[in-house]
Amino acid sequence: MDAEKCEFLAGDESIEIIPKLNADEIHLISADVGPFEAGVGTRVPLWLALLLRKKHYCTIVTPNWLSPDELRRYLVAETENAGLTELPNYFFEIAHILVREAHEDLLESDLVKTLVQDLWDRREAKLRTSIVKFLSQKNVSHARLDYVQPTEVVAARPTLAACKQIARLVANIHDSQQSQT
Amino acid sequence: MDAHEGIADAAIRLVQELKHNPNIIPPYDATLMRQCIDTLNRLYDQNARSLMDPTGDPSISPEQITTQREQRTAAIIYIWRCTTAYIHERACRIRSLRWRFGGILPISIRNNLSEAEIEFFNSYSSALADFQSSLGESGVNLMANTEPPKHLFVQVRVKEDYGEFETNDGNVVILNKNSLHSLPRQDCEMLIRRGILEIANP
Amino acid sequence: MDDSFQPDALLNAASSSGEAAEEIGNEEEDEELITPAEVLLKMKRAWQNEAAAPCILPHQYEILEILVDQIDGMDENLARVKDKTQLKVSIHRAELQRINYLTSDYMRIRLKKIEGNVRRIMTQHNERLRQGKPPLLSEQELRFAEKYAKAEAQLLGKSVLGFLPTPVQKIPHPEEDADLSSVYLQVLEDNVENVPLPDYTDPTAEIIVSLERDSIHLIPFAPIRDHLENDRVRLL
Repeated sequence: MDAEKCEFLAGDESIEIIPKLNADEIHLISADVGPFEAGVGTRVPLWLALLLRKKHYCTIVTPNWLSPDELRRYLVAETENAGLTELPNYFFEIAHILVREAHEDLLESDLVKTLVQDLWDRREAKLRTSIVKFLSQKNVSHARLDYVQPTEVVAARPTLAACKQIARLVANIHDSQQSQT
Repeated sequence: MDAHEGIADAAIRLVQELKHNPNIIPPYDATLMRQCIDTLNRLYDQNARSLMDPTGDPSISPEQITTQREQRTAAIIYIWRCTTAYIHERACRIRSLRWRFGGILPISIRNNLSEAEIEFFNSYSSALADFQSSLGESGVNLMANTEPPKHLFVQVRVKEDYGEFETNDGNVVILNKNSLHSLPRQDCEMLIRRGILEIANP
Repeated sequence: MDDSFQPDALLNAASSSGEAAEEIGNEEEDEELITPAEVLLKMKRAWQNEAAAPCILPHQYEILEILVDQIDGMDENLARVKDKTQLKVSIHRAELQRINYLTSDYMRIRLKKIEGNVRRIMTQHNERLRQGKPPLLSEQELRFAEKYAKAEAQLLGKSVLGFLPTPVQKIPHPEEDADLSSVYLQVLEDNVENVPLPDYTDPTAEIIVSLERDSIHLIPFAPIRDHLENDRVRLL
């Protein structure tokens, strides 16, 4: 799993578009989309929204949760909570994709970019602290990470290698303890 | 004791050859391999003889003879590990060649492989081909779609004259050397792999 | 848009709305009706799990083959469309690429795992068959594994092992240490059984972890294997 694969998965999340043309319903394998009426908002998978936008057949509507006001609320919540706050599915992936490929459709895209980055940084700091604490505890091999986002899991992958090393060390210690008794 | 110094030198050098050249397949070192095999066999014979004739040199105690045997066994295992690791690591790299180049190896790489390795490449290719053709109506192609489809179109530069090319969405383009085009990614994969096109702006 | 265009002609299988959901899969008694959209979701899940798992998981080739058939069918239909510049064609093709990526990557990931430890995996496969568990490898993968094992043995034999004394003619087995690995997982259902974890400070003690629905955990792989096989959790 890597960042590219996360973006791929995020492509299936639904998003609102304003079509610029009329078109009949299309029966895809994954979903039925349409019919499309010019000027009338409708929801489609993100991958389709990007395809249509690239061909100038629609504009993408900024999701509510990606407005500067909502982002500031998330930032406040992130500061107030000890754990991670719950964010919409594939929050960072969708934000990155829209900023990169649809920023003309985004309201205040520069501000959005900054706020999303702030949110990422704040959460990353939390994750780092709790992982350090987790790795230095002696007895247990388990941690709970509710509301962690897919991209954050990818970034935290190196921890798995550390866990494995620890498990190996422990297994060796227990083996040699047993052979001593 | 000193007779064993350097006994695994050839084995160590084999492994180092690959460590020092991590991104290519260096020429197969039949000489070093031969040395390893000969050394291992010699050690094995010495141990066998030592077991069959325990009296041997009266100036050496039975404990020392046992220790010698143990040391030879350790060396045998070590050489076995190094030689099999050498073959194994090269096999890993050879397998990834199949994914880069398809079933035909470039001559420059072929020349670096042993006969057995070329045979391995062919057997591996054929096992993959059998697997691919065993699925779907006309087989599957695992060398395509190796990345998530992100950009539908890629910018490509034509490296060799190719002539007319029809994309899957019905457009016909003329691929002249050095011309730039924006083409559907899926259609380009094979031409890029064959070196006819290259990505213009990664 | 072209009025004469027949949208449904492009899709072999049923509409994903489930109205005409086909009976897909083995024709066994009481086979649940499953829509193409659901098949796709299962494939996505299987792919994610396989990508994250430290060892090879029981195969999901029934789903894979359904999708491969769908891809073939759609490909064929798209090839027959006269006006390929239509928007619908691009859209269907784009979806096909996505599905193709999933299925191809799933197969590739598993083949690489097989190549990495072929003999041990074949042993595990046979062991599971004897225990009546769902098979590890599909038929096609098993045939591949056998051929690959043979090719590898030949290579080692002709390069080094064949020149050595018989007792040393052993093919090395890479260590399988999946049980030492940890994973990130998410709990999918309610009432998932608690998991006992080793207490590192006391080899005789256990620590019990409860698995609430939707919670996310960093946890050793071995104790949750069964839950994963039963779809009660998924890997991230």
